[in-house]
Amino acid sequence: MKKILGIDDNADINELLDTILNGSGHEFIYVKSGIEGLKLIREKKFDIVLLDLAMPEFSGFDVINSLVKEGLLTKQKIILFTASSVLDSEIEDLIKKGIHSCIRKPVDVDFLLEKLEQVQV
Amino acid sequence: MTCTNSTRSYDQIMNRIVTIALSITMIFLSESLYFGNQALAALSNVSDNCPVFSIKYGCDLSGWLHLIFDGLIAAFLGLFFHHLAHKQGLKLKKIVEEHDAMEKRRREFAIQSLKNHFTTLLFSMSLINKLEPMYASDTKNRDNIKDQINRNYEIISRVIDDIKNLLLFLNDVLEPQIINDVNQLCQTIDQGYVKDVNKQLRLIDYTETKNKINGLCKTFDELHHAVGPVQELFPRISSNSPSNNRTLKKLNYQEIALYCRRILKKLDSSK
Repeated sequence: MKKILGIDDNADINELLDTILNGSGHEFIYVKSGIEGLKLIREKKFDIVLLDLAMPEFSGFDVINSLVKEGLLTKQKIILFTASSVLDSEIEDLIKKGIHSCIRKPVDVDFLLEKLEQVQV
Repeated sequence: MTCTNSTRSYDQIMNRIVTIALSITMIFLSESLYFGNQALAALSNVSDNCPVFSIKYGCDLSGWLHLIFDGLIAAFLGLFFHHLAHKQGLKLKKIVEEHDAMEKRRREFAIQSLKNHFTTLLFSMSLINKLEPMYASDTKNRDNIKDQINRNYEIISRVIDDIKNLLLFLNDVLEPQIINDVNQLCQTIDQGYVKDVNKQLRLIDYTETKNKINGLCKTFDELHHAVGPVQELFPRISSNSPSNNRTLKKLNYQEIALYCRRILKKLDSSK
């Protein structure tokens, strides 16, 4: 069982991930904005953080930059879960900064569960 | 924002002042040359002693001097119009660049929204697919499972409506091929709506839909090069990692049902 935090502004995806991940034995909570997500990351420890990049006001990039400044990025296993057109080179740069990996939307449930299972806590 | 606007308005005022000053100078120059020329000619008492390039009382301007003056006026006017054309060109270039940037942002937004919608579709359909065997076997909780399935179908219907609206409002930035393919996908899902006939559910063909969505994403990547290839990067996990050899934990449908029931109970209690 892994403790997973979802940061995504898409309510449907959050709700479905809630059903899927909690239903498959993980402990999943979600927030709808980058600011709330950043606050939770500071306060609690999560095994995996699923981070969307394109969010209004405070994007995933802002979350990453704030974590880099505070030196918290490498302490979290942050997986980008995004539909944005991020180039592979940009992802490579983010991985060098301390991001764990990237899953591009759309994905199906089995694939997502498989990838989350592969993450070593 | 206010600072930018005030700077912009200051620049605009300065540009106007320069343009007006240039215009007045040009008009003054051309008029004075023309009327000076005419005045000299009118007052002239033409003499055979007037050299070709002389400008003095009693001598008319020669053809050469006319040519030089006209050439100078033409050069001034040419420079002035070139300046105006250049300014207009810059404005047009800026407008075109802004339009291109806006179009790019709208296309990016369209593709991003479509991908998010596809993810929701895949998740919902996958859940329905996984709940379907329980509907047939778990007679006690059949109603709950059916409620959950219907709830997911409501999400699917809403997402399909959203996709159709998206195609309607952003069809100018999407390729016709993509619009056709997405429409076909929506039709396929619409046709596969769940029906409860003799306790048997007819479900969407999940694999077919998933393949279509994957195909669409490949088309996005081919047509819009800004979008990176659809692939997942897991660089920290090597193929020899022991975690890959572990048996993957699949969805526990019973747990899903329990969890769904908990949600439904919460909903009922909140009512």
